[in-house]
Amino acid sequence: MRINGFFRNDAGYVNALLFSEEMEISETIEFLVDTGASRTTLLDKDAIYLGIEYGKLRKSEQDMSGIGGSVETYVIDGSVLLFGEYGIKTSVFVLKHPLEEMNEEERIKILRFPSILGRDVISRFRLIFDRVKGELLLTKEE
Amino acid sequence: MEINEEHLLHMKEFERNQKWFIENFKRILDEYREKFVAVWNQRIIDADTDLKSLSKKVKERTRSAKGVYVGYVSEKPVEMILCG
Repeated sequence: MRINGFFRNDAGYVNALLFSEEMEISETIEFLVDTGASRTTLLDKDAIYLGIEYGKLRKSEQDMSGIGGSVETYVIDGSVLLFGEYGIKTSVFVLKHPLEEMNEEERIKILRFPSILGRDVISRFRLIFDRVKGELLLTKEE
Repeated sequence: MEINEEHLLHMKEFERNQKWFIENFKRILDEYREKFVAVWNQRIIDADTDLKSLSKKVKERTRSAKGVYVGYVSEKPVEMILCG
């Protein structure tokens, strides 16, 4: 099985359909492939556009480290990330930065950050990240 | 709600809109600099400096629209170190 990603500038991305029956979400998200991140995480831009109702989500026992310190963290349990026809069940974390407390410049900076595909998903695959050849692949032997 | 063929079509529509955004970025920059834009059917259907407002407008205009790509239009690169 092969999941093709792509590069924008020097960053690698993959698209996946985020599906949560409980939250009634079925939207495609552009994820930054980030081997430094332990968990797949929706950042503010996607959470806001999707209209995520944080109150309906489980609050994570531990907030994640974000920009400027600890950030309120929620979890969409039992989510499925669909890459083409290949689905992966995982819990997707959702960050909520205190945007209302930020100035315009900081707010925009946060809202430009992409959602992240973390090691909870990446580690299930062989990752090929070859910027020189323009090749970004997540592969798995069937 | 189950994953079905329609969801895969929505994903393909998203990818078409994303590709259009990337390929037409320079042209989009002239008109929508420092704004969020919503792309659907390979055209910009709305733009706003406020993401919540854009999301609301897009959902009102296109109730059933799936596969909308939202991008921020700026020449400034996104610099980040993300980990956790």
